[in-house]
Amino acid sequence: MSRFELRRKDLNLDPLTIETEGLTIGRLLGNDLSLNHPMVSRTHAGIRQIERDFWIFNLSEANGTLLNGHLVDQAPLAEGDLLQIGPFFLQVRYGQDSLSLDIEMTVNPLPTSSLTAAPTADTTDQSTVVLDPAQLMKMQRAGKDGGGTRQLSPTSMLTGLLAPADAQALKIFWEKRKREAGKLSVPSPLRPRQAQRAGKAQFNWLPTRDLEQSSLASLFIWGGIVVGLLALMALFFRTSAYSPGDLSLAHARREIGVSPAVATHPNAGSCTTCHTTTGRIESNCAACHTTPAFDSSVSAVHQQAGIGCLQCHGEHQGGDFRPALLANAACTRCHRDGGGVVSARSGAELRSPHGGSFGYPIERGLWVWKGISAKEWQRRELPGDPLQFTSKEQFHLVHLAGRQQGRSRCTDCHVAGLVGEALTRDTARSCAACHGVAPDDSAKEEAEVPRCISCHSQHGEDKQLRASLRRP
Amino acid sequence: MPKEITRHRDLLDAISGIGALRALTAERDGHYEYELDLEVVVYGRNYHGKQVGPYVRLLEYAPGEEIVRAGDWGGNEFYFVVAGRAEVLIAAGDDGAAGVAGVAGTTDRPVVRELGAGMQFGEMSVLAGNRRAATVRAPAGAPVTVLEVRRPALRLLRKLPGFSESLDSAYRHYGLSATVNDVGVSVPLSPELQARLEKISRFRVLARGHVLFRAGDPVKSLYLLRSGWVRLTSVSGVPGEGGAEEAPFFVGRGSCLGTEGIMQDSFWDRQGSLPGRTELLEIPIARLRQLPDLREALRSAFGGEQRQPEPLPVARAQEALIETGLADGNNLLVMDMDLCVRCGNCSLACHQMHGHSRLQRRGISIERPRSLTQVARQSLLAPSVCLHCQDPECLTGCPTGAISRQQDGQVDIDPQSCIGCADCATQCPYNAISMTPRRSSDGPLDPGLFNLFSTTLPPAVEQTEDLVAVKCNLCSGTPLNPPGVAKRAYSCEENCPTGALRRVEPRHYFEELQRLEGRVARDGNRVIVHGSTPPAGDKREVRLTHLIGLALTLLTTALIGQGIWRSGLDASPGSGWLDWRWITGLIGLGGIAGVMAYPVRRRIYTKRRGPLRYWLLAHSYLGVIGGIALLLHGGVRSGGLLTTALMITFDLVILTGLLGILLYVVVPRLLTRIEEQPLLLEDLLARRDELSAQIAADLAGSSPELPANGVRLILGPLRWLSDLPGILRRRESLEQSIVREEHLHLAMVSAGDGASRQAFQRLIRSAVTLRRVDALIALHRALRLWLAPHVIFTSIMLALMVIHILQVIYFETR
Repeated sequence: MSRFELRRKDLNLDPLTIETEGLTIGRLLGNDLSLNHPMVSRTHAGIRQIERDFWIFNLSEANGTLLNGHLVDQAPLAEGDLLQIGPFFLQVRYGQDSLSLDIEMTVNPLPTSSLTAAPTADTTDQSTVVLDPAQLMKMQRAGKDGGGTRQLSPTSMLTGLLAPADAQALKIFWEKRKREAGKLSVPSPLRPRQAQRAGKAQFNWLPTRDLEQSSLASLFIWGGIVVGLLALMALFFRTSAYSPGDLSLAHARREIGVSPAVATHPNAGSCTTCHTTTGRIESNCAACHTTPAFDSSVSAVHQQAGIGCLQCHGEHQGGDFRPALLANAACTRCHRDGGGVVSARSGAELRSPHGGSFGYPIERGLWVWKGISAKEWQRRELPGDPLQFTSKEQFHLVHLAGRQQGRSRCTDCHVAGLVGEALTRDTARSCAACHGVAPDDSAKEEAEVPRCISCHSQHGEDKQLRASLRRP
Repeated sequence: MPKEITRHRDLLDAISGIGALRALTAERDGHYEYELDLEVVVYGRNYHGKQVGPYVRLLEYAPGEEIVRAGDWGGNEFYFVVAGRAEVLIAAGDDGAAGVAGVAGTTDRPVVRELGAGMQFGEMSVLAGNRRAATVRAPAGAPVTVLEVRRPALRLLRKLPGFSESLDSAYRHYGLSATVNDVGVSVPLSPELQARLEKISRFRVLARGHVLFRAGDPVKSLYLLRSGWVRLTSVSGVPGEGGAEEAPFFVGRGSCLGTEGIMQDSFWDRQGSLPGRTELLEIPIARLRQLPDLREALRSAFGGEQRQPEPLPVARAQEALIETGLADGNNLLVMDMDLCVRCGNCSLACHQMHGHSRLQRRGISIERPRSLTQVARQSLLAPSVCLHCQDPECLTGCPTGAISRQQDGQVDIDPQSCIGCADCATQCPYNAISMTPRRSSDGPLDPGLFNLFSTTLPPAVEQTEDLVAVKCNLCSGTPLNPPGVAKRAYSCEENCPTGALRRVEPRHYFEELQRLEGRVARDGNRVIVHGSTPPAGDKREVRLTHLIGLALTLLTTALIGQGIWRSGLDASPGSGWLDWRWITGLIGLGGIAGVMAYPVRRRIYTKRRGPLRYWLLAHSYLGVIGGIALLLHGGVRSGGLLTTALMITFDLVILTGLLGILLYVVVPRLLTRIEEQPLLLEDLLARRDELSAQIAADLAGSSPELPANGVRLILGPLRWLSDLPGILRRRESLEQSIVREEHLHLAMVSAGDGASRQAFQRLIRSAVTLRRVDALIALHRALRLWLAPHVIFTSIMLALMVIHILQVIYFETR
């Protein structure tokens, strides 16, 4: 470890003491002596003690190091020698076991690019020189020998003689120092070895791939265009793409299937019979479903409640769907206990009919006559008081007297006959023909299974219990 | 406004009349001795069409007019009084020599000094980079003529005998009184003790590498650090040569070294060297002992300071930060590589803001513990952008003074005066300055609305003429920071989607540096770093956002789910037509609208619209909420081709989005485990080509020596994929991987002669490196691969959604 004393007149610094095996000099701040000027190479030169002498080594290929005005490769330093590195002058003095360097700088007021790169031996054609030129001339003589000899190499650079093994070791030493001085952080082997651009051009701006901008907006626009085109085509050629489900057979058919007709013309699968751009869909329903045999108007009490066609009749549920046959769920959405729906007519809350709080509960799949309240008895225009009659009498009176007078026949329920045991055969089942309801009812089932609409029809003048749409 | 006297004769007379500058006009043998310098300083010179100088102006200020105001930054000029007198005022509340001017001080103290002809002022701001310490103005009754000298003249004036000495001694005097003042405030000391301390101390300015004291030397002085660091090493080896065996130990500003020698003679137990430029107060102990009051005060204040050595990871982090100089930056840009998703939006944002991007994701990488108590490591990248150093290298060499310190403390380049000489770029140790063409650059990148494929890159700068230097200027003077704004915003920081990029003050952000500071460290004159982020960052705000997002998600899910469970999708919670299907549909629609606001925000780079990281979090949460709502909206039945397609694409959007979130969380952490240094994708690709070429060359050149099956074993095409889990699990470095591979093939390696063994080892090294490069490339690509499907499905989904909405509206209103 050798000691170097540096006195820098170019900077506002106190004298420095640096201890190192080899003093690196260069522009980068990692050097022991950092001369930060564009004319100085990144690692420009090195000074190292060999036996009792300090030797100067030029480490810069692009720019040279001058020793007393001569370009030097490697040479021992003598007392009073003058080194020039770029615009910096270093005066060498030997101290007690140390080397002392006084550093001064010639400053050109113009920027570096106005100067030539390599220093020439003639130092006086640059701008003002700090040191006294007379003194400079005095120093530019062959230096006294301290331990090695200086001579001019074939390339007319000053060089000193060193044993080859030493020279090799030194080369490795300076390579290592160069690498260390050169970096603020260790480059990893995963990094590409990029060639440095020459000179000032190495600071020219370069883009990186971060600046590639993919046009996301265009993806949106193209996606919109493609889908829009497809949608437009589907509108004309395959409107079923818009359909939420297949049309029922009834509406897909090309001829009227029901007699007496309930529609004026067959739909034949058209979308636009119901879905028009103007007008409500329900008026379209009514326009077609108004025939001599069928009046599609809605009962007054339901109209008051804001119910039209679509609340009860669905479509687009597939081919087997029967739009006219309503599942009981359509009715029991409102007509049930706890539904919170208030009757438009009486103002009382709607309750579950027939199986709930009045009328006919279902037990074990069969109707059971539970009895009827006096109020309901009178509403049905039945004579007297229900408690006067037995259950069976109540049952038969409700179905045959009062408002039901003349509407039902005995054989509607006693289908097997009226004689002997045939009287009661199949009656339970035949009740179910009107009143029975399967637990998992759906409108796709056979028409024989009765549902609310088997008796309570909406459409037409007769709003009471009426058997319509019952297939023979 | 002052009146400028432009007659050159007057200028030259003024210069001759000032003692310190007289030598500039000295003549020798009939011409000026410093002819070229004088010409540039006074007249300016035009070379190759570029104007350099003049650096001086002769200004006459009207009575009462202010020349400099206390508290201003921008110390790029200093002044000599030429004729008349100037008054110096210090605002109330000022610490005097410490240079902290009370900015709010409107009640000035009376005039403290008067400056007469030949005297100078304002040079401290230029030399030390401080704010103006005092206000100087023309007296009320008379005008004053001053010579304004700009910074670039300093380099030239230093040649004058006597000038640099006087400047240096003024600087040291200033430093001495400032430091003594700081000591007086922190210890504290009475004014008399302060005066005594000032008399016996010396102010020293030292550079990197200097050895302050060696182990075994007697303790002769106390060293009180004003700025910079001291590194203490037990082994007397040069740090970095592998000599130091124990953890590096640093001492920071405000600390005092040598207190053990105050009372009794002792010796330094370690060597103290300087890793960077350091300014310190040297107090000789011999003289200190003659002043018992002062001695006691200092001993009691500093005597107890015996810091414990840090755990090794902390010490290594300190070493890395200090040796690379990052610790001395004023406003440091750091990227947390565990959060960075390598999207490059920061670079793009800078490009859109300034025309040429000043940010590249290459630079110094540091690994440090996340905090003093945590074991978890943080991989940090400090890219090559301007640190706005306290003592900038770039300023000193500029021949025109174009690069200077601006009013908020940042260092900026004025393109009008810049002549493109690139001296500043050459001198910046961090390569933060690049050269761009002077003519206005092409506008911000706009690929156009119909261009599906990405744009070509902006062209590299090829020319070397007619350039100007550019560097980060903290986005001053841009729409992002209109004048008078309270908290600064930087385009890069605002547009980082994950909050990985922050601009911080190192002393606040790095806790391990804060620990090194001693008692007397005061922030008085540091450059203010607006928008700097304390270590906690905005963790609280981010956490709050997460909390709100989660709460909203759970709340909406619960509400909707419960409603649908109770009454079914087609039933309404109240009366009316608004059933649950409608509600979920509308919530989903709102979610989609909110989500689509993110790509709109992403394209805004030049205006403040909220930091992007919050937008991304909002985008994710709104997406989840909308997704849940729309999943419930669909129900279980298919509603036809249109709505089924809509549902499928929507689900794909959500899935790709979730995949993106997963990748963004997991992949950066995988990358930091194995990459050792953050690398750009293009660098990795270049390296892959290099390695492949090298392997091919090696194989072609030496095939008879290498066993073919061995080669095949090493060079399998997808070996990186099978190796990757093991590497990640073991946290292997590249060297360890190479060693392991060599062990695997030990038999093959040791067979054969020296040359083939070398060839084999070279091949193994190249192959293992290539494998790791491949793994890194795959991980980088993984971070991007989810985005294109996400956007494609979104665009399809949006179009379908529009049609669906039209459909619904139509069916409701007929």
